[in-house]
Amino acid sequence: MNMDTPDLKHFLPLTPAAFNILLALADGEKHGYAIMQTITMRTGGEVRMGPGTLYGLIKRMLADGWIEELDERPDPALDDERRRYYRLSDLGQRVAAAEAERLARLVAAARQQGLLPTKGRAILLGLP
Amino acid sequence: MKPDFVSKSVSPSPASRARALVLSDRVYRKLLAAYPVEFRERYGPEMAQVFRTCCRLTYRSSGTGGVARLWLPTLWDWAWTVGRERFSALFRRSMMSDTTAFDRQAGDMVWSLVTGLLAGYDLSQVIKAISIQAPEPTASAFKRLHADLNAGLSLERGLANILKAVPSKYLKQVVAVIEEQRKSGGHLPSMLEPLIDGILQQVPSDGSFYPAMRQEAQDLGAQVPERAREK
Repeated sequence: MNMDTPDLKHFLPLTPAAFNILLALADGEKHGYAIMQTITMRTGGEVRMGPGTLYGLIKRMLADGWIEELDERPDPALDDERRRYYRLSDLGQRVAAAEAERLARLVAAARQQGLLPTKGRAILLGLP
Repeated sequence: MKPDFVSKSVSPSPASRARALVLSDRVYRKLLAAYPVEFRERYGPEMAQVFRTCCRLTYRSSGTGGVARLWLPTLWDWAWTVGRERFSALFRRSMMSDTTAFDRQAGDMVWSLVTGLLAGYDLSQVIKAISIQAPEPTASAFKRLHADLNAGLSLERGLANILKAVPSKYLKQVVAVIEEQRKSGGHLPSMLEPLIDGILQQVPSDGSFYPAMRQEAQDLGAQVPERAREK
């Protein structure tokens, strides 16, 4: 077994909620409410996560080693001491990247099938 | 689109604000009691705090009506996730009852680990072999461990995961020996071998996979550790 090239396929595809949490943590550690807020902002309100969904996924991601809980709060002076902060682990980053690549391949396939405008046209139209 | 709490602003009286928020907080904390105790104790305070923050900001922007509207998705989220967490706790309990079956295979499992290591295979190869050849529930536990290692999880994390799923005291002993060996060094098969007879004395093997593994080891010409009753 080659441990240098981990097989991430059995984690994929991620649910939209799980991928959104990993994306929210990609730019640094956050507490639960900040994760929710980032997801709501990023998706323009399309994905709204309740506390049950958020912490159910946080529990699973901690168990699978995708995220880690910080021992210390980033800025204790400005923050509520009951808050816990989470950050992406190396494995979590690799899982998120693998999911992003999977989605990019799907988008490329959709483009090839004419379901989406070509890249150049998309830029002109201001589409992703 | 901005979330509700930043789109507009209303200024309700402090008394009604306090009432709406206190009531919401109280009801939500009562609802948290429906989650399994382990989940509730670990995440309940954080969930309550997140919900309190949502209520406060929604109230600031949309008043009592906004808080009332917030309750609908919150109740849906609560019902769905209570069901999911309860099911997951039930599944864990059924894994616990599997622990008895796992224990009856534990002596054979350690014997297989030792035999595989003595035959010159590395630990991950032996784990894979056990995941393929052992009967349930040992096979599932080792399949999960093998998948975790394959995905890049550390051995320590993978072992912790199977211990969580199968809280067997014998598996705990094996994990302790592996961790000790990784920390301080030493010959792992020799460190594991004394566990075999100890486990078999307490829990006799169910005989479900030892004969086949022994035959295969002998066919491969591997050194086969003796067990007390065979000495």
